[in-house]
Amino acid sequence: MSTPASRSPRVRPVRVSPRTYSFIDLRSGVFWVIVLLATYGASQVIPLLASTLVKHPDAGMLAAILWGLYALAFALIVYRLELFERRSPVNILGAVVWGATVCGGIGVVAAPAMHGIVAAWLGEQSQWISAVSAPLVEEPLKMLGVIALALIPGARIRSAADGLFYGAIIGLGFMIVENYLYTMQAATAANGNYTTVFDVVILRGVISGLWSHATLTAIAGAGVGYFFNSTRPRRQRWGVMLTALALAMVLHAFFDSPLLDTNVYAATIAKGVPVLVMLLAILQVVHTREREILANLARHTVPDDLVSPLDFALLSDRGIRRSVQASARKSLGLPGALAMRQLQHRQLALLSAAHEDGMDSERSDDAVALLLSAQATLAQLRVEAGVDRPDPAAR
Amino acid sequence: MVLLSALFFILVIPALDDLIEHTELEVGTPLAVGENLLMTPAQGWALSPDSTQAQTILTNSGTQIVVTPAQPLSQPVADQIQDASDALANDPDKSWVVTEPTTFTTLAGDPGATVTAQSKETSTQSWIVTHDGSQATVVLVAPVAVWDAVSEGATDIVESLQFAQTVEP
Repeated sequence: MSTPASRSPRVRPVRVSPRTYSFIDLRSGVFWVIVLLATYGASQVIPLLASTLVKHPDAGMLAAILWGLYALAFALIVYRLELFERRSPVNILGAVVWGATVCGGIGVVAAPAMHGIVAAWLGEQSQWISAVSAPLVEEPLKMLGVIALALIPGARIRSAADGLFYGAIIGLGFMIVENYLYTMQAATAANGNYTTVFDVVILRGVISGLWSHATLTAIAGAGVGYFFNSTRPRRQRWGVMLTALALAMVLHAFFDSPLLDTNVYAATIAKGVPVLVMLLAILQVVHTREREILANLARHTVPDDLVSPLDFALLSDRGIRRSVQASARKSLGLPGALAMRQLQHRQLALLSAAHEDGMDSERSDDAVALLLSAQATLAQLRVEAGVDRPDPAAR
Repeated sequence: MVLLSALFFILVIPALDDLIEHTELEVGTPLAVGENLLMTPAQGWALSPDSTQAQTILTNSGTQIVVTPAQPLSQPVADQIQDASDALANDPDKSWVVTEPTTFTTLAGDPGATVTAQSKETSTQSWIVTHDGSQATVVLVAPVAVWDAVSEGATDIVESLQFAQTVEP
């Protein structure tokens, strides 16, 4: 009788140890492909951006500021979705560049062509041309960015949560460039009128923006993160990644479709809520998986004197972490709360380093050194407050 | 793999679009719209089989231009373009961002007015051109994603309009 293991053998994906601190890896061919595509994309997008700024500099600056603030607010929300780890700002910048230049630039070439192909297929009068053609170009291009990052070990896409995070950032980069160009289309037609700029920002940022590209690419990105890191059989990993892409495309098509278009506000909510619910469900799944991975590391890989399973239980949720800090504040005052916060951050940093680079890596060694220092600081505060006695071994 | 996938979108998709027979109109050769209006097609535009005596339709990448033949001027152009603007602004189905109407002159020297609007997925522009008591209307409807690629050609088409003779009321 075959065992479950023999029916569906779990194969750990081959992981190449990171040799850089970010996706910038001069020895990686994929990095140079990203540079090449970003250069090509920029050559398509920058002239469009520049021409709008030259024609109507005031409106262009206003649109740039408004969309910049919007991007910042959205990025902060995405940043807050990080449960345990603060991802590299360089990687985040790389993801923004992919979305803004590669997706934006290739979209300039491919979108009209795809609209032409779909129009020939569905008929020029069809109301579904945009709904079919936009997802066919934009969703694969955005997902390709997460794949490119995942192929560079230094980017450290080590879980579905990582894929979801970078997918959201790529989608955000694309959304901002696309929306800026659309805003300036209208502003140019209005001779640089400021009111038009504000109206389009409200239309695209508030009415239709909340469930837009960042959300869709987060879903596809989670599939990429799963594909590159799951220990499930290859066929299942392909299935999950392609299903995630298909889901993002279908949701995009639904959002752009003429279905339910009787009132724009009602339609936007009716179309947007399923997308948001889907994202939140996927977020729940990837966070659960992320929590399991780190719990396993605390149990089996990281020594208990650094992060024990009990320590991780107290780290596993933002609310629990905050209550532990509050408890430290009660007994040790503000310095105690800050020291506890630092200790928690360093314990999580060690778990992340052990997960992404391995426990025997230089990054983990650095994280251990910082963690020991945080432990010593907290221990000293406890002694000073009379909570603990001095450790004789430390003398 | 990443490079090949990107090249698919940069090279293969546009090549496939080129392969599809769009029966493009010859650039620079005037096309009659009804009996008393001529327009000169721009690069990439094709004559739609849905065109009738009452309207000529050109298509390009999922975009349509509908040109109505010259008719007697029914009311002042400023009023008509304002009506078109109001109709878009009051459309309950789409939240149009409507720009202020502006005026322009065709290459033949005929005056006109235009208004542009943008919704979540669609952009549209309406033009009205007048000549000696007659008028022609042109409406462009395009997905926002292809607006940049087609709007200049559409403007060229509108600016090329020539009235053959004055329309009798």
